[in-house]
Amino acid sequence: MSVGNTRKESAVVLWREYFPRYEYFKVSSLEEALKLKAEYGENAYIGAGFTCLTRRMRAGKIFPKYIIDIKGVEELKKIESNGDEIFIGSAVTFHELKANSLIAEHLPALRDAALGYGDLELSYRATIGGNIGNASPQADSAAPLLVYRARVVLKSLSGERELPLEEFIVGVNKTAIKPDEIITGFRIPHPPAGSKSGYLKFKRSAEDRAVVGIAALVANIKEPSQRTVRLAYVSIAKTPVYLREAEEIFKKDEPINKLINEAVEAAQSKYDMPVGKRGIDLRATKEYRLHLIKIGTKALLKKLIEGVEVL
Amino acid sequence: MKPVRITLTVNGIKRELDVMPNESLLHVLRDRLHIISVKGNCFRGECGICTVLMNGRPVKSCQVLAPEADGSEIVTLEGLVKNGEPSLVQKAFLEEFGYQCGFCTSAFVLLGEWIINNIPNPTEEQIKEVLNAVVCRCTGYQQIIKAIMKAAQWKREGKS
Repeated sequence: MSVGNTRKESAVVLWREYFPRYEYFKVSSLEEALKLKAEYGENAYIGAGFTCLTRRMRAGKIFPKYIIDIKGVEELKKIESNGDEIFIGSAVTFHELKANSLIAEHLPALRDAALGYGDLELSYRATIGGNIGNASPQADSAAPLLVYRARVVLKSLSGERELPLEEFIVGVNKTAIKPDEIITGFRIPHPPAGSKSGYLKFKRSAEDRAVVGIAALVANIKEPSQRTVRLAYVSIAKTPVYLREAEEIFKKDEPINKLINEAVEAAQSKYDMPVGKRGIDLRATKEYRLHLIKIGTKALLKKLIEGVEVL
Repeated sequence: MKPVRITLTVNGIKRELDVMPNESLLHVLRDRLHIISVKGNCFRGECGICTVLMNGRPVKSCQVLAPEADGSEIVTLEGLVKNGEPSLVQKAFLEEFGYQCGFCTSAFVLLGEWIINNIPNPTEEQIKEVLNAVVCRCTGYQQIIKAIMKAAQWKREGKS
């Protein structure tokens, strides 16, 4: 019998009061951060709020050798619009998302997500870049960013590239980021004129992550051929889900309630929630999640289309 | 891993300390500076018992890395007492019995302090929204909300 590393096999994970040993760097420019990231690669973790990093370090899931604090980099903290696109820096906190007028005007679903995110103390520290970079199945901001067709901006010393969010998150805590890259922000095209969008989150307690989170965007609802309906879900599968089928479903010239039911079924078929080590999902059972998808999608679309609060 | 020198202003007193990078602000305050109103409980950022005011904003100190706090201004429960006189929120907590076992009280008083300084006329809903951040295992929330309402009222009336 091998002795070796028993941590992974043991059923009980010890919760550590202290962090593992690492070197800490506080950078004031992006250049500096990129250089450090190029030198240390995968061993270096980028952070700004550390709300999730500290949890994962204490849980013994990650052991960073270097931590790079990008909180002081001004260019990662801006929210700006250049006419057809809105740029949100990766170190923008959820509190800033709540308070920003540009977000409230153009990206209401993202504002809803920020309002529902954690509590006051967490929202002061947690950032949108961290929320997406962790690639948690429950990442609140992922659903609104998916319906807005956001692109993730990745930068390294050798240049900049953009990836659609759908391609960026590839699994539970897995992204398509390269070891020398840093998420600098998100580019979001302005939503179609006259569109309405929102985010609905079911949660157990104030600071909890979503049991199911649903984001939707609707535009030109009267005209079937012009109709735009986009739906995205978090906490129903291993990655946030963009429901591509919904775009086609809502183009059909049929009663809207029938189409919503079709979309609900399509969303339910995407259910693929990972279960923990002991074969249980702590937040909810499959049946309950499927139920929330049904009532949540209906309620959110009713609210956006008819302006009726159902839930 | 080398010690890092940081400067903290804790309750109005400037301190220079050598800390290890892998300490949290909670450990610095409690174990190095012996400020025992700051308590560690869940270490996951869920319970909020370790709340301190960092640059005027409530944060969970178990999630703040010690070197990250360099140059910041920290206020803990001890810092609210001025010349031996408790603050408005502390007095209101006494009057409304906003405590039972007292374990979470330091965090709630600091949240109350933030509320009366930032929301001039808080409604019960607004207070509840902020109090989401901290858990009281005795579930004495009603008295805590009343106490903060009272402190806000006192502040509006100009009581000190």
